Amino acid sequence: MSARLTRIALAVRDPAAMAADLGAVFGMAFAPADEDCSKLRGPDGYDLAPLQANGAPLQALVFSVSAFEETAARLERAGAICTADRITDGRREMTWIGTALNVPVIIRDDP
Amino acid sequence: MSSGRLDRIALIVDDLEAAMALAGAIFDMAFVVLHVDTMGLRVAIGESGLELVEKTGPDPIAVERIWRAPIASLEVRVDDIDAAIAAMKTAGYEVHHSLVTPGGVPKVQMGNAFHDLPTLLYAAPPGKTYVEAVTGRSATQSAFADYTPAIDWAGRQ
Repeated sequence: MSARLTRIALAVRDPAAMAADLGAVFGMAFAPADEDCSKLRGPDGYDLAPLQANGAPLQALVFSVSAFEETAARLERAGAICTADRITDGRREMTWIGTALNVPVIIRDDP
Repeated sequence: MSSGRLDRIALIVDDLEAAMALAGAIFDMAFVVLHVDTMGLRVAIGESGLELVEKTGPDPIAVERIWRAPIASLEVRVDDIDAAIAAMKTAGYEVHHSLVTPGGVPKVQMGNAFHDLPTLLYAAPPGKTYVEAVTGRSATQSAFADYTPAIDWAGRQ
């Protein structure tokens, strides 16, 4: 079984301004990640989305896992709670909360 | 312009052992843990781009004030730390504090003025894994080490 932390979903007050600053200071290039361009995707696995009222600055950690069902079973055995099970871009994804990491964890099937 | 990449994120956890156990059991992650008593912290450092930070005691330099839960720091790996600091200063951001890790890697905390996120710069030498470069140890050792950094408080002490 392999697992990689492949995406970190941040929430900030002004994603476009932050992306512009990261570009100006560090040369990072962000591109729209959704149709309304509210979410931006950077080159290193970081997404910038608008911060919601009372929202946390870290929305989720996304792990690509080779053994999806086994990973889901491990999370369940660890007491985590699945809050979403969906297909995104042709890959199954599950969102889990209630882990000791204190942030939502998304596992993405990557056999 | 300096060159950098968003490279790591440090999460605040309530129970370091539980978080490490979960990350190990579910995602096969291994960590080296540094006890940073001068900052009232324990930090678990791994190769995955994820670090875990647990508050353990008094925080004499008030690093906790710059955290934005659950983020302790968002880390930018840069090619040239001096150029990166200069670029951040040009953009209007000041150094909050800096330290050198046990492995000799300088880490420069810029505070949370950068889009309200605690932003840290570091430059790791090539040819070593991140954990080896930062801690001087291998993650496979599952080592626990005391670490007393000399903190440059950027003139605010």
